[in-house]
Amino acid sequence: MTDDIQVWVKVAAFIGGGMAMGFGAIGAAIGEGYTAAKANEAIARSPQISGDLFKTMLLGQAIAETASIFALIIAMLLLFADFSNVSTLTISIFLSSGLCMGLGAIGSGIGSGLPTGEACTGIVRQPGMKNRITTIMLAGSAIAQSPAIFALVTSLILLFVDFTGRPVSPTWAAIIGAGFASGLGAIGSGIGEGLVAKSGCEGIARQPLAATRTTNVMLLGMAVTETTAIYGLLIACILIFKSFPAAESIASSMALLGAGLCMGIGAIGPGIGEGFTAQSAVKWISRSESSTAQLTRSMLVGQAVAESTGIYALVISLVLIFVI
Amino acid sequence: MEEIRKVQKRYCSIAITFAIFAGIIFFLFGLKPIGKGLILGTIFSIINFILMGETLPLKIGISRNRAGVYSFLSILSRYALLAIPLVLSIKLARFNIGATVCGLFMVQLVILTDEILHQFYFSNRKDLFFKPKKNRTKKLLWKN
Amino acid sequence: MAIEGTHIVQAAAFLGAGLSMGLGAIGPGVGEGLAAAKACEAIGKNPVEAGLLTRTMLVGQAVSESTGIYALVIALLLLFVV
Repeated sequence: MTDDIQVWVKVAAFIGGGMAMGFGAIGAAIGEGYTAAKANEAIARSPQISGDLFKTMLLGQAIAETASIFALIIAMLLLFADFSNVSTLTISIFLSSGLCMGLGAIGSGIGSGLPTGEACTGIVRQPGMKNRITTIMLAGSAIAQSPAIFALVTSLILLFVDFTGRPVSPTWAAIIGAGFASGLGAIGSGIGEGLVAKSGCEGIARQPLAATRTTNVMLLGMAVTETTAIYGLLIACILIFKSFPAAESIASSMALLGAGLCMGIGAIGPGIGEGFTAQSAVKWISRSESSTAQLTRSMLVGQAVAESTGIYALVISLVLIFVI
Repeated sequence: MEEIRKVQKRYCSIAITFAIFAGIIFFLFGLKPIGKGLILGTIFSIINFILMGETLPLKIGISRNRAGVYSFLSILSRYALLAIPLVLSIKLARFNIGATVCGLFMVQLVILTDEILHQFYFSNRKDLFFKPKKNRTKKLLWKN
Repeated sequence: MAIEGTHIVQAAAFLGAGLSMGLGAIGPGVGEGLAAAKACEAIGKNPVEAGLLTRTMLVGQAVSESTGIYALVIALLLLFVV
């Protein structure tokens, strides 16, 4: 029987590692493709500053690839894990950890490719502002990595927390649910933050005089967009650290799995929607100076309303965890 | 290409200098695996950064399909390279895994730190249309 | 571990509640975001009408919110009534 479990744990580790690396590379590839397309256009438009454009592309790509290097780390940890001391729960831990990191890297990979592409366009438009644009691009891409960092944290917690002594029956579902909550929840925020940073770069390139207020509103919008990913991390931590009583019936397992899926999928939409809102607000704040206060207020109200569906998902998953 | 070389030289030298200094400090405190892991990770991070710059011009000015193939091959080869220090540090006790992971992100950390320091402290750049006022610097840092 | 019919029905109800709310949140989230984005654009173009535009934005968002509330109601029904 123990041999059997070891075989299944190995299968789970290889599937988890494959998912981490496969999904993780998708996001980076899409982001990089967007950047390359924009840079192509930019170099075609003004070949004489191609050195600057290459420099921007290189720096942006170095930051954008961070998310998929996280996925590589988790994949390697899973493939070369210690298989000597395993239990039935280890199967779900390995699967969930790989799934979480892979899904979590998609959003950040796509998101941090967007500002880099826009920065290339912006440098062609306003070559004098190239250092300022590069700084904003790097800050935006770095903040867009934070959902992937949340997913990395969840994966590492899953791999290194001691689950011995927990009952198998509901705990396996809690572990898988935690992976889904944090991994899927990071997609929306990652893409949304990328959209905000993109319009920040565009705005500074169009209106260099508005750089400071564009940057401030961009950071504010990104912080609000981040919240849904934080809900995902919160639910994942509750699912991991709460010890559930043993239950033979399949219903309690499904409740925990449902809680994770609910929060994970429910965070995608609000994340992207809030990103759209902040993107538009940042774009128009850079163009019309007089309406900064009104635009900031409208952006926050709009984001708060778009957030509400994410809060419904949070409530339903808390009900599934604590009431059922 | 000249610009890329300059940028790479600058960031790579800062990264390796910092890694060696930190490594020596860890060696002096008797934490050999941490120091070794940090230096190992940083070396591979720098190789990855240099290769990234070398493959960048290949993607410009060719058809979309070929660009896709080139970037896929570039990612594949660079990640196979990055897997080497990770596997080494997982398998061997001589390298600390956490320190190796930190080392893998050394170039990225150096880039970000350099940009942020330039933006907020050494703001005597020619391209800044207006310099940040002295009392605003703290506020901006706090927001970051 | 005897699996009974009622357990399976309950399990399906819980999983269904989670999926209902999760999937139901995607559409309204993106839609409300788009509505707010367009409102911000309009305010940027015409700051004088900011109050009217914000009110219109809120009405539009409330209407698109309704599908999210339907999903919430269905999820609560699945949790507590079934």
